[in-house]
Amino acid sequence: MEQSQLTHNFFYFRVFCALIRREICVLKQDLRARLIDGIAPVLSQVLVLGYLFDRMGMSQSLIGPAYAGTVLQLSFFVSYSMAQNLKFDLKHDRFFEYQLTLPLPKSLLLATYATTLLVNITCITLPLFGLGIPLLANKIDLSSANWFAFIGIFLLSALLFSLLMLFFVFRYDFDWFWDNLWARRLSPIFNLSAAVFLWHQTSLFSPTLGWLLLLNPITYAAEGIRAALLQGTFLPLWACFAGLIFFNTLLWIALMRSLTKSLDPV
Amino acid sequence: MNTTPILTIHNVSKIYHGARGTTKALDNVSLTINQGEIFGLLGVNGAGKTTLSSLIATLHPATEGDILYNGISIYKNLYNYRRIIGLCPQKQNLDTKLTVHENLLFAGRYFVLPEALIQERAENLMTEFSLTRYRDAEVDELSGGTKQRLLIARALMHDPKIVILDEPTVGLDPDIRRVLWDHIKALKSRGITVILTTHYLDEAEMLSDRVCILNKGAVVLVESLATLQERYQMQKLEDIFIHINAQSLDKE
Repeated sequence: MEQSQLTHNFFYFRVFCALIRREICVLKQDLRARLIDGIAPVLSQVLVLGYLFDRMGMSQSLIGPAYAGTVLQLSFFVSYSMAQNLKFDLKHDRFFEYQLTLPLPKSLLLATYATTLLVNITCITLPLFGLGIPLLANKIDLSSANWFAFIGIFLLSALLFSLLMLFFVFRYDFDWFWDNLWARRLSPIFNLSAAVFLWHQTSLFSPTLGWLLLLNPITYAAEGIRAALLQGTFLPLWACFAGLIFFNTLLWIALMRSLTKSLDPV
Repeated sequence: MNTTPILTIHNVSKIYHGARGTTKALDNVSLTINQGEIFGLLGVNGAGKTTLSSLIATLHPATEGDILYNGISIYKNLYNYRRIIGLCPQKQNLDTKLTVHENLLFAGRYFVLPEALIQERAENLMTEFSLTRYRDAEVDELSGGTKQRLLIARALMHDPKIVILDEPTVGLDPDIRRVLWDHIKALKSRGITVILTTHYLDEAEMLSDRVCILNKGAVVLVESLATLQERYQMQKLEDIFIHINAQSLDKE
């Protein structure tokens, strides 16, 4: 690589770091409030899964897999909430437009946003997920957990949600995004994934449905987290990693296209 | 007056494809902007002023034609070019999550300036634009005129050679407009080239060295005020503008 290209790349990296530094500065202001916002959903899930469903006869072996779905649910909400902020900005504050005039390729600007969402999801979801584990201590067996694999799958899942939400931000106009996105896109995508039920059991009674579930990227996120943390029959970890990497790549391409189509940047 | 071109707009057209069909916002625009001048872009609503300034600011690409900075296409080294321009758009796009001071600090960091220089410039600009008392205020707490001053200060943080001001005084009180005019004149005295988009003709008359009148995306004329006054035998730019627009309507 030529020296000048290296210099340019280093310059872009420093602009990228400055943008991330700004996001961390904003996150510091908001983190406490966001954590408080997240406590209620996590505690209610703990109550429902660990104590109410248990009393209603739900098998105890399902509590762990269902609680794993809670991580994704929370990540999904956090990423949607941040996407709403960006959508509002594009319409009103237009800070994103200023960022488009910075000495940085637009792909790196998008990477900044994806990283920001990822950092936010991680900082908010992981502590809250951890909070629920001691409360369900005698109902979830984490003795065989592979924490490195969990971190890998979690980060890829957070990236998946980041890219998915950014794609929707640029794909749909402001009114459609606020009025229809949740009902017509996000809710079906989440509910028809293996986040709220188990892929293996589903494919036992309907192999066709099992195959269809593999078309939903959230299936790989949910099954990956279960396979990393719990004992049981889940999609193999390697398939979850491969599925998440594949869908993240697809989403990245789609995101670049939707940005170009919606904002016509240089 | 310096007549060395800093920017050359060469046969630039811009076509937007939207849900309601295709719009030609700029039609084969060619003009030059000289180093250190205040160049006024005038025209009625929809004439193409904001589109042209957004192309110069590299917010959008030209559909056809080229923009040259010191004789070299800006698209050949886009990110270096962005380091010498500062944009103040019509719709204020300040960072509402940060304070006034932080807005300036981060504007310097985005252009990878040394931290000591960033601190020094931020202090100087806050003093120059009377922002010191709002240092720790959030952007949403500021008045329209203060936000506009902050917007200009932010655009100056990386010491650009060209500043694009798109309708900088729209909706502001007359006394605040005058204050901003003084700031714009001060930019020129620093040797900064200013591209001023406005539909306030008194503003253009007061500030511009040369004006460009756009109509329906095409350049009607580019002249100095003195030349226009002599050619049309009228003193006020407003009268000249109305006369030229009437001529354009007659031709149609």
